[in-house]
Amino acid sequence: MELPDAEAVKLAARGDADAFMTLVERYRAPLIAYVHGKTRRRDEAEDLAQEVFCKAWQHLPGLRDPAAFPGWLFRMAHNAILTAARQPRPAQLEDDPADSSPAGNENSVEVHAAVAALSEEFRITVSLRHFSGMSTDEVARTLGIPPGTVRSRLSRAYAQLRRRLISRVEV
Amino acid sequence: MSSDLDRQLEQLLDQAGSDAQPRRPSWGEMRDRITAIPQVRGRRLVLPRRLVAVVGVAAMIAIVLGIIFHLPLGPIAQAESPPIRVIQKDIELTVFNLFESDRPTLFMPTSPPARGPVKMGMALVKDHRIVLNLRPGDNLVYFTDVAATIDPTSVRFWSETDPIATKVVEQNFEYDLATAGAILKRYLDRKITCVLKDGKQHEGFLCSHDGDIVLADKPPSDSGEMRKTESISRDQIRAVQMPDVPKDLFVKPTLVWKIRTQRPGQHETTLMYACGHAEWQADYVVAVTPGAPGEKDQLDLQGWVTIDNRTGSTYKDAGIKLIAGDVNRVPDPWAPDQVERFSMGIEFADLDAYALRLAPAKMPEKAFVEKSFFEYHLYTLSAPSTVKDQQIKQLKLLKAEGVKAIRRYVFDSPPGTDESRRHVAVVLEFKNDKDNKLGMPLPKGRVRVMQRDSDGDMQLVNTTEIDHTAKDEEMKLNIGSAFDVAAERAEMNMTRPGHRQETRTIRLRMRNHKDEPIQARFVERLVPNRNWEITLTSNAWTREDVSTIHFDFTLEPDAEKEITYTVDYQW
Repeated sequence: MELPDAEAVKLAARGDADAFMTLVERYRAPLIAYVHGKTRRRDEAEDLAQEVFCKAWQHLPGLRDPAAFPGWLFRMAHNAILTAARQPRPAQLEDDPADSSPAGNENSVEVHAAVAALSEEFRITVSLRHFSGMSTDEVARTLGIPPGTVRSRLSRAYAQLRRRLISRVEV
Repeated sequence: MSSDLDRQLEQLLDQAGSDAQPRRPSWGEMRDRITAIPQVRGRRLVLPRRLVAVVGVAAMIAIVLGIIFHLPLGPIAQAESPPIRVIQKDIELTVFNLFESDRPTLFMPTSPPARGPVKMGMALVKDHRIVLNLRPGDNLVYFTDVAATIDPTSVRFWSETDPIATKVVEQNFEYDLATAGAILKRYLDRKITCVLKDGKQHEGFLCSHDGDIVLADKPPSDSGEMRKTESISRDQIRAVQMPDVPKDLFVKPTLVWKIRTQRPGQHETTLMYACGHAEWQADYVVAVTPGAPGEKDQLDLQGWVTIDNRTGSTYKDAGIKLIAGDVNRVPDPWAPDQVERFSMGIEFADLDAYALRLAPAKMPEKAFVEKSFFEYHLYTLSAPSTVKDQQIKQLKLLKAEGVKAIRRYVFDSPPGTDESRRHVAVVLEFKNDKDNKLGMPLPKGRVRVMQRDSDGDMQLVNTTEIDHTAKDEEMKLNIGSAFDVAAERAEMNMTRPGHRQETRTIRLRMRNHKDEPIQARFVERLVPNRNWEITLTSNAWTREDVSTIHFDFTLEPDAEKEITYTVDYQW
């Protein structure tokens, strides 16, 4: 049985690193996708996501409502993106041809950007379902909400995403 | 309709999900990172207003009393700062071509000296590390796991987190390693105890340790008092006991920085340095499938990169880049002469061993991506790879199948060449372009040409070399001498019609004893530094350069071709 977010957050706030690593594994792909969608730089998304997790660990004891963890994490990522955007980039020896397109796959960027633009509850649900590879029931257990609510959120989120990604979804 | 669209959308989301999966190896160190970060446990106290007022007034009174009576407040209890820790985040290794120089181009204090010209590989290491628990002010930071062959004069270090207010005040490269000799050297004239294999103990003041251990019964004195010494063979010694281990010795080569920062806590840092004894070379295998009569041959070309790491450090999950091109390097004025300690490259013991290396199951999945870089070409491995110390690593550079090539029989005989050495060379000519399933700049390297025999087994035909070859350039692979094609060159006439004038008539002959027609070429090298003019010829010719021409023709089976030409020289 997967540890629900709220339980993992409570344990992590008391200094349980294993519980926090559960949260890291659960939310790292959603966070990478979010940063990628916002910055369009795949090569930097992971660094920023790691920074956000470090900051989250540091300030987790101050989070009053454990159920608010995912939203809190994304808001922290949003602030980190803004801070990073203000900092000058260090000069590099050369571009990394391995990521010849720093944005990464073009389709993925657009999808990540569209998901990042969803409202918080839709974004979290879609991210856990598709980026963390969870089933509907697992998402429900993780977030501590009924499976019907997850399905309803997914359905409404898909409707919004269809409008945003109309050119990429064949009619 | 809507469910179809949802399915497509879900597929799109799943694909985007796979692109959001973590790739950086540093995720594996996430647990270490967070456990090194203290959690902020300051909870907000919600106090009644009256209590706040009382506490405030009490604090004010305490401050005033303190000022008036100079109350000794006692030392401020300071929480002990957690130790500075360094965690490796990721690393990039850029390896340069092998370079030959009269003198070393790097200053490597740990390498022994040598004489004569040296062939030295070089690499640039870009090492990203996270430094935890820096304090405001000066900090001593130790970076171990750097290359033993590091050139300390090339080191650059900076903080990505705070590049402006974080400065390196001092940098040291500690390479006095804690070897037995180095430890004993620290104990000269100090008391040590040698424990022998039979359990006996000899205590004394160390006089010498170069060969046997020499102990004296008392320390040296200014009065010149005689000392009684004893010599103990190293073979008899089981252990040497000393009061403490010298603290100025390091187990591994270590870079030590004094870093001054205004920003405490965690810093992401980058360390960049050059090191020696890392090299790479390209190796190609060309499998030739002869074409039907009148058709071109087909080549299957595989390119491999061989990286030889003797830097004394392992690069775990490193981003690997290779620079192809002759990068200029000047001899380092600090460098002692270096020894060429190791043989260059690797030789394959036999064809079976080589074939084993080419077996598909052994091939790594990682591939190189090529990109122009300044006047060179940069090849980057598409995924991180671990390069261990003292390891030769082979990675795939390219694979091209069905490359069309012309098999040409070339008779190239410079005037004056020994008649017996005149052979008809077999040359494969092909274009390095996309239409021909290539089109990638090919770094200089060895080429092994192979062809299937009648039993279907691959046999080595020849080993040759190619130079750095840009895309869209013509490539020529000399694959050996023809057995069934013979040629000869004869000078038939030579006159001197005037002062500084000469006329020569040359006859060229080639015979084809094969069962199929061949594409053939005579290459003629005219006398250099003279004006020349072809006045008479039986065949069309093409100028290659100022003193080289060639004649191309097709030669039918069992036929002979004779070409005669006359050239007038003036000088």
